[in-house]
Amino acid sequence: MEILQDDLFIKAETALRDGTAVIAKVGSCPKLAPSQRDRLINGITRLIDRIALSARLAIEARNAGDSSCLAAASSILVRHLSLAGESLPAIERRITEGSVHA
Amino acid sequence: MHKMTNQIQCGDLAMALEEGLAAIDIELGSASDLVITYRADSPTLSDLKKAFSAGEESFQHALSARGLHERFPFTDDVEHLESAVQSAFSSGFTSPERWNQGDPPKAPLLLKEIPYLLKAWDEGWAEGDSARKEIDARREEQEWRAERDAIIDASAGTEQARPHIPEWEPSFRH
Repeated sequence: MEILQDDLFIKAETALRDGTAVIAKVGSCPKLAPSQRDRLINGITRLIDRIALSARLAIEARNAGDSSCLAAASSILVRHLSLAGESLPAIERRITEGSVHA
Repeated sequence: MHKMTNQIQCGDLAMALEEGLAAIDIELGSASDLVITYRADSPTLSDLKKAFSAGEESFQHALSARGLHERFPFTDDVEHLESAVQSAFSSGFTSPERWNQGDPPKAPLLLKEIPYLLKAWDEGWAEGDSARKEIDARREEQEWRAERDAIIDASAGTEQARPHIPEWEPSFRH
């Protein structure tokens, strides 16, 4: 159980770094329309905010010895990590490789 | 007629992300979103850490008070309670008159922005209450058994009628 939680927190930290890196790429991508840039940054920011907050609740609940709160927060964290795992690589790929059309 | 541009289109990915977040909200029972007060153009990881460290102290105090509060009913350690009270007071979101034994510390303000995280906090309390009741019941049973044994010991070797033993629960062994 402890190992699984540590693994989860490492994934959360990785997702925060990845999300921040993708935001930086989106922000500096000259080929992106401003409206789409804002929309992407907004969405990614919301996602990583939630990852940070649910991870935080999970960590603090664990430190406080609150297993039920930890379980609930971990479950919420997993859902957001899953979304990050799906969306962040796709966004980065699009920005990097470019899908240019009208 | 479409005009060719060299712009990258990301509307589909932005929509997929927004829908993913909305789906989680619906699944977890929340229609609200986190209000970001520190959002700038492009937040960095250090910005994030800074933003969260601003609420860190109160967050930690809240959970510390909560952890101590949950353990306190099982102990008579007055210092333990005082420590929990101090943690709660210094958190800034729990006023002295609202934090007493049996009155759980409020959730950190950050959590109040996201109902399902708040729910996780509250559910923790509900389970904690349940565990507390179970432990109280177990303690009462132990006290009752001790009392019963004392009565039996006191009447051992005498010819008195079996002393009255208060009833406790069905598992009492005759």
